[in-house]
Amino acid sequence: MNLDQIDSREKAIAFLDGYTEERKEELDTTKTRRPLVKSYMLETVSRDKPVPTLESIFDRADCTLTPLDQTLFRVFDRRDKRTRGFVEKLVDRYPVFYTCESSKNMDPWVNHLVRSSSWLDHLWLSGRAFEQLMRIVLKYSPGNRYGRIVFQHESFFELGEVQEPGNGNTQEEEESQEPLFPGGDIFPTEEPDTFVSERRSTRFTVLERLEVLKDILPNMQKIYHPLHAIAQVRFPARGRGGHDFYYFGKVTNRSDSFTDHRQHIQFVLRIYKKATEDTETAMWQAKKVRPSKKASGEVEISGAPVLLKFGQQLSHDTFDRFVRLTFGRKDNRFRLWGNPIRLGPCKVHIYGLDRHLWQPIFLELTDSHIVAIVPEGTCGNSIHRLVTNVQQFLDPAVEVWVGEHPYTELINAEPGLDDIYATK
Amino acid sequence: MPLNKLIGDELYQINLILWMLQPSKGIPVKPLLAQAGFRIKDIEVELPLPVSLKNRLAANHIAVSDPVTPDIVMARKGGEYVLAECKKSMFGSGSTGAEPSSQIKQARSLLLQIPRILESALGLHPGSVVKSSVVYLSREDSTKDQLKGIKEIDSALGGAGYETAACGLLVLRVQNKEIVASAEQSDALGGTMKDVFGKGVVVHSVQDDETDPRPLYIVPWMPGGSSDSDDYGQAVFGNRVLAAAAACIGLCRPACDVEVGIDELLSAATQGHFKLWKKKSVRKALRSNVKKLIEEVLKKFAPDIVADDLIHPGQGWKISIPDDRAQSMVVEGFRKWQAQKWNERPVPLLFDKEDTQ
Repeated sequence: MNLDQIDSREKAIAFLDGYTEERKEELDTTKTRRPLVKSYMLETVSRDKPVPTLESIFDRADCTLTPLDQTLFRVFDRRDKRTRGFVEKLVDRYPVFYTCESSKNMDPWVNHLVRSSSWLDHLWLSGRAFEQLMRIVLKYSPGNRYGRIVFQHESFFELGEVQEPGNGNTQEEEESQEPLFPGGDIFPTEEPDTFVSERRSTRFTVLERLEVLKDILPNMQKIYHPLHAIAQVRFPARGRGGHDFYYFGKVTNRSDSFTDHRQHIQFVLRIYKKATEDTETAMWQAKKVRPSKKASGEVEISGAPVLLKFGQQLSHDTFDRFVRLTFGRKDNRFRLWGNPIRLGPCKVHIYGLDRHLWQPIFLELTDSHIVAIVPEGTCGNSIHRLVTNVQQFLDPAVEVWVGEHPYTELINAEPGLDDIYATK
Repeated sequence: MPLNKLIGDELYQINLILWMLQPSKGIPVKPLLAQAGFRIKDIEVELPLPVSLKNRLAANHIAVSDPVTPDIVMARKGGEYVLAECKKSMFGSGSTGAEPSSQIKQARSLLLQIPRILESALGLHPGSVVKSSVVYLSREDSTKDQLKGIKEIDSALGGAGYETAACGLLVLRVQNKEIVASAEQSDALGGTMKDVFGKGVVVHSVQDDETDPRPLYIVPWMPGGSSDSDDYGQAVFGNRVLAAAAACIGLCRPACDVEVGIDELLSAATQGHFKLWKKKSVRKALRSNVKKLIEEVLKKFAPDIVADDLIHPGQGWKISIPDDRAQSMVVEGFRKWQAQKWNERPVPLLFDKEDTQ
């Protein structure tokens, strides 16, 4: 079916469901050459802030949205004049883009979409967040189902003159190497004839029964720290197959049902939403009215710093490259803006901005830690992005606290019934 | 800045207290006050004296600061309030007959903040404040009794029949290359500060000799403070002004005109405290310095950009951003600017009244 002919929610869901089933049948016979359905979880603005319409956000990236109903839109790319997929306001604050095109095409396309608008960001799932999500998966899924975890860490700032890592390359590489069937080898057996930088790099996949993963993962992480840098996790689907969640918010559907895929995304988004809002409540430096029994309310300035404590001290060179490649480039991966004030060989302060929403964030970077002070209004996603990228490219074993509470505690909460019954 | 000079810097002292009041893992400052249950109630909040008390003080020829603005108000459960005031050095009680200094007038007003007076000034329900006290923070000077002046002021108020709040002194010293706070001279406060700091506890560890130990500054600048010539404080304040300007431009969608108000920039850069700085000379100097700073950056990095004055010169600009490239140039210009030497000291005006704007 031509996507342009789809003019209602029912047709869109039926199309995505049918397409999913066909691809799953092909997957089972190891024959598929057509891309799987994939979704990209995005973030707009923090709570209580006015948000421009999705139409105007996508318009900035040369896309026209055609409403199929109040919350689902068809996405037409004006640059190459074709429909790319659908976007849905699935959970308040988090639109999700569905497409049937390949990751090779769509990872850069979504990256362009996000970079085109200060109102959009990827959804960032750090290794620490994945660990918490894995706990929930392990709790509710039968132990004999298979789970898949991809660990990925590259010490980009360690040695040699390096290019700041870009979103596209890593993801394209992942797509081209995705296994056609479970258990397939995703890595080339031979190293290409190119210069190999001498810095730590880890990328490998574990496909194992959940009951085994539950036992071995904590022990493996104790022995080898890069295994904290989880970049992808497969959630078993209700039926066959699963849903691959990537650290930058992409979800590939390897199940036989689009509805199941959409429900898994909704489940993760609700956990993420709660974690983000709890992080914001804990860290925002703001004057708040605390309810009081005696009076109408007592004013108090609350907020707590966020601390990222490195497992290993960075070398002087690594620290310098990290600062230079992050704050010397406007399109840096951390999406931060600022002019570092040097306070010592391995200490800088940045009174800068997060380019998502251009909200203030103050950072102390040293060779042993990062401290962030986050004024009210700055999106909690800033911290998720910081932690994710630090784990991927600087220190996989970084420990994170918001005030005196471990960051992982904030991601631990499962959605309550109120969230489950919420209309958005 | 040498450590011994840093601990006498009021801006450092205020930020040190704010860090001690925030729950954290103790990096870079130990959250001793937060662990003792204290939270920040307000920063630089005005505490007006009740009219009847002010009239009686006037009748007794006792000059006071009204309103008085302590650097920080903190409180903990049970209605215990502490007013904190940071000082480069402590002061005497003044000689008889001489016009009292602003520090003496301020001290009198702070000491008068007994629970009933303080809860009225904060607009709280009667009975909300159960205990109130005043704590000065200063660099240790072992050559003299640093609390002597305060004790004399307290005694004089008591002699005239006024009730006063307990007052103590928290001193900072450098010990084994670490910054230590001690509450040895805080007997009047009872257990509160003594329990937390005792004879001395490390509050801020220093990384190494080559590294400036300052933590991130939550409050970037204080009007009339001793930190005006401090390059770090100036850079922090300047970067926050430039970041506020970049945020206005970065979020717009070209082609468009963006209104950038100077007061809005100052308010964003100071987390709203600019509105509380009442001295006309301070506000005038800050507005003028911000105007110069932004116009210099635009002139250097985006000379073709049209920046018209808003209705009145000095109020702000309407900046025309024709396209994405121009937007990027302006935002990058704000990022690259080195803002260490931008904020010239305000020149006191002959009649330096409060600005009513």
